[in-house]
Amino acid sequence: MATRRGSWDDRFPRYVPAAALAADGIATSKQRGAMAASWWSQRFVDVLESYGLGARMQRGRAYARKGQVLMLDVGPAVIVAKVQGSRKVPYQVRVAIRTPLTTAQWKKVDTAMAAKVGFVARLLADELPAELEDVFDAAGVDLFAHSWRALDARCSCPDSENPCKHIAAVLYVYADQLDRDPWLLLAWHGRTRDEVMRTLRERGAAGGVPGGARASAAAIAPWWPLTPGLPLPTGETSAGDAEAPEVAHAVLAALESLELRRQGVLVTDLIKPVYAAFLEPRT
Amino acid sequence: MRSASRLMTVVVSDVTADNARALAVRFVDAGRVVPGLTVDPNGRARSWWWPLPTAADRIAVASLVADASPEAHVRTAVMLAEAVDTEVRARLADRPVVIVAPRRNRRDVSAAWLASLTTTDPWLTLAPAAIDDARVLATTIATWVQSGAVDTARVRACLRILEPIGGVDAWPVELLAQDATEPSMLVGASHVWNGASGFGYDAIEELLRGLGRVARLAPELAPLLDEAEPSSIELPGAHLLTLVRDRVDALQDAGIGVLLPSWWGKTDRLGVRAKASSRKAKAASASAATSAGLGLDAMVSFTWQAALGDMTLTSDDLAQLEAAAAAKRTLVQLRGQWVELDATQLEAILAHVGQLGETSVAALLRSGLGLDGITLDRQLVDADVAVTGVDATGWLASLLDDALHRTVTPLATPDGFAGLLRPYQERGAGWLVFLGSLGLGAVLADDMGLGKTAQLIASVVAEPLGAPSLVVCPVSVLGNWSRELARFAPQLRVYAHHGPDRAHGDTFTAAATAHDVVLTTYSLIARDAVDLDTVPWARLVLDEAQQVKNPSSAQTRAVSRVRAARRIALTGTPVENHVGELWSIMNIVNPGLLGSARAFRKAFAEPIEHDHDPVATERLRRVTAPFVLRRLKTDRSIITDLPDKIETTESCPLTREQATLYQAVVDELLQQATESEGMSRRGLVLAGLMRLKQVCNHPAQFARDGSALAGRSGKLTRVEELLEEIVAAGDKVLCFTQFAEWGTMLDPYLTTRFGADVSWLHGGVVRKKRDEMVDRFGSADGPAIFLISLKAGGTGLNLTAASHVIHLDRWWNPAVEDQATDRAFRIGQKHTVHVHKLVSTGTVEERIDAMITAKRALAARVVGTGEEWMTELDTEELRDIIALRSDLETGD
Repeated sequence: MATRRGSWDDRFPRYVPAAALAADGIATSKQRGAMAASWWSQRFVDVLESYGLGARMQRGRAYARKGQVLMLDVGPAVIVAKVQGSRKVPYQVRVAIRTPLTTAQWKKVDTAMAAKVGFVARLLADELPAELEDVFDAAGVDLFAHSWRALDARCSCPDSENPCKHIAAVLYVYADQLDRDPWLLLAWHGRTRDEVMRTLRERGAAGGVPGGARASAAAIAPWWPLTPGLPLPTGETSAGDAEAPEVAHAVLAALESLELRRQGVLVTDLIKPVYAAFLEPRT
Repeated sequence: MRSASRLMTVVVSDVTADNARALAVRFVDAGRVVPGLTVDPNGRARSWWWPLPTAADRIAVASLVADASPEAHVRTAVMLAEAVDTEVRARLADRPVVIVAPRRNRRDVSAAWLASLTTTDPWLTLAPAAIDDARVLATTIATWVQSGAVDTARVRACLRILEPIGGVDAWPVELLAQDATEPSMLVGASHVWNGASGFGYDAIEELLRGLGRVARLAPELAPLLDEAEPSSIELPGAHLLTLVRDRVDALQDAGIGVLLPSWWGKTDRLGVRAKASSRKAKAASASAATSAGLGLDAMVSFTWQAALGDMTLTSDDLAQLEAAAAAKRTLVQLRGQWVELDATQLEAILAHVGQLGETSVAALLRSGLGLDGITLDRQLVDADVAVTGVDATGWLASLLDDALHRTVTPLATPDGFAGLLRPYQERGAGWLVFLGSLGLGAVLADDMGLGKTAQLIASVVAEPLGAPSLVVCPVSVLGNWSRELARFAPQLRVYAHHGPDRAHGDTFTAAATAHDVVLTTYSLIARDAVDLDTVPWARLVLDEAQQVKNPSSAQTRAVSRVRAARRIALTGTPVENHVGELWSIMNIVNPGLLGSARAFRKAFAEPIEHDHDPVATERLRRVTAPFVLRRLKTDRSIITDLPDKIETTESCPLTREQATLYQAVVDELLQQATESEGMSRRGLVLAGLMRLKQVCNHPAQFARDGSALAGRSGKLTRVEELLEEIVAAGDKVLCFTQFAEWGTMLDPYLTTRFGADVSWLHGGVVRKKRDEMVDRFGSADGPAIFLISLKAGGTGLNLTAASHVIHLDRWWNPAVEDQATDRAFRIGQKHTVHVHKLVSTGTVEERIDAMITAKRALAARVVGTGEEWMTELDTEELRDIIALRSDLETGD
């Protein structure tokens, strides 16, 4: 078959829809059927699909399943992601909540969450407490963005439609991650897990402890085996003579590796002969 | 200022410092030390040798800490670290090690650290610019050391269920934090929330996470999550039951501890008991002397009662339960214990209280012994109500009694029994009579030597029952049975159905009914089933009942079909060790009592033999206890009156091969005796007698042809039976022979046959080897069988480990035999010694044994003179003694 070399077709390849480059990104855990397992993730997907954005969402879902989303990071009030499209350079996607919580709104949420230990307890047990939506409602905030307008979504692709399939793919991957880590919903609203816990701790309620009142064992010494403040363990102690280990430096095997080298040799290997020296019976 | 000065005044006692040094030495000795680095606020860096305590060391470390305050912990930590560091450096001073070459570069922090680990001075000399590097390194090292340290931050959420106070239906469930490494260390959640628990913040997160899981896995406890600082919750009994029954496993799998009240799971269940009425029981005891008895199939009537475990509930109890059920309570305190109450169950129970029922004796017994027994109606089955037990009076109560054989009325030695029953034999015979009167089968499994035969014969003499009793036994003991019957009950008419010329058809029926006891063998029971079926037997007695241990064998099936009013099995093997064999034997004597073979295998054989389940073992013992009587010679609490030595003469039939050979030797000997005289005649007679004994032992010993041993000698067959029983009982035995060649043949044969070590001591064994053999036999795991040549074992041996002695062949001098027997019977012997003297039926052995036993005139000439006297007999006298007599047919 003859080929038409030198024609304009060669220099300007035809646009082929959905001819995305193969990518080995974050393929969603759900390869068929519903995109969410938990109620909160399902809720998010339902809301997403209620926007009535049509076929782009389905293409986005296919993208998500294929692993076209290369990176996804949930920052304060914004999801930042990279999606492999048909071009070599991945597209940049940002999905932000248009109006993040005000300080006053956060205060209301914090107060409500501190009143019941269940909020944190369930979150720590990898579950989004159902009542959290009420708490946000009471503070005048939509926990699940019920309107597409509440979101500020951008993509670097040339597609003029918004949301494009890249944005849709990112939101599906986010929904998938939300399944396993409900904290991501709060993170999108601007509070990371650590921040939530710190806030609660500072309030001194619902699992919070007065700041700095406690010392951990490691604060005494890295090797210290007791927690100060706890009743001391008592009982029979075996006061017999200790037996030398078969391998003098056996104790080092009980520790993780110390990635510290001198001239390419692990420092822990350099120390080993010392054990043999002090364990040798004295003459 | 004030708090600082108070801190200063705390002085560590000398004792604590000494203990710290001692502990430090132990850490160093065990090599449980790791290098460390610290940098103080002034930027001074020092290296350390730190201890690395394990979880097991925690108590020892804690003993050095004055109190729970962080200050006290810090003080001890510093003291222990310094003690360890000092100890390591002191030891290294004796034998210097260099990790890195000393460098002048004061910026190289890791080199400075490594170098300082082996010097006496722990302080690092660093350039000021390197101090930040040192801090980074110190953190890295601390993290590294911590990776191997005991994890202290780990707690888990734990739920503790308490009993309600004041009879309300509200069960407190406490939320606790439990130390992951010290499960006994529990802290109430309220202390955790207000920061007074001492657990670190990570631990609090762990508790919160646990709480989140609790709410998911046990919705009953979800209200805990609605509080700001939850510490406990009260549950109604119904919810508590759900929690305990359905959630505990899932909670524990999720890493949440659940502490139940100690009595939980140990309380009795509500159920029904059958109270058997004694109407028929009376009838049975009145008719104890009749032959038919009741049998396991007989029907007995009973009344249902409500019960809590073994306790029968009163109408007050029931009213209380009804009221509780009406109030929808699911846990009720009744007679001091918490009882699970199910309305459907209670309804079914109440519907049955006072109702009459009827069931078979077997089913009632099975129910009483905790097995499936009485058939329950649909309502009880649907409501899952179980029979918790059986109450009975009279003979039924006796059967349910665990110690029946001790409480049963003993049988005083009956008139017509030539001999005197010992007290335990009276109880055994009484037990046979009692079970027999009820139509129930018995397994008399007394230790060998306790007189099972005598007890059986006594029961036959006491209750002739107007019909013959059929005794089935192996050929090898047929002669013994004739002898024992003649000895203990000479008036009983005994008929042996045996041998090629045995009667059949009407002749047999007529002969059998004209006798009191008919003896036959296991091999004929199937072959002559038609003949045996013509007689309505009073008793079926199975001797050596282990012969029917295989339920599918032809003889077992034939034995099962024999029609007899009473069934008795005799065996000396420890039946409890072979539960499958026990089932087979029990199924013949008490068909159906132990259920089907398949059900039995599932309920007993597998749990007992595979899992060594003590509960199943005990249940089987209880179920069979009324019907199996096994007493051990060693049990002096029962057998108080046993002599120290039991002697039994065992008659062993000759095989056809033996009989033919024996006859040939006799013919030859008598001819030679007639034709010669003087010294040569004497020699010929002695040699001939020797050959006769060899034939009695085994044709292969006589022929010296190295041919196979199995199945050719009645005596050897009997020896194998005896050894099997002895070895199975875990006893040890001495076997004496006067023929070294016979011992040499038996040694490998018995070793193979019993898969065990056999010692063989003969004249050729050197002194050292012989001492070794004696020592080994004496040790618990030494050989069970010790073959000894009479000459080699003559003197100086102490073999008290043996509780049996078998004389394989006879030495016509009781003194010689007694001397050998004394090997086993010496000071230090704790067991009764059972001496088995084997003689071949119808031969010179039997003749001379009878003479010695009966102390006839000739016997006087025997004692103390060896066998020489026989050479003096004239040919006719000699013929009398050695001729083969066939009162009983040969054994094959």
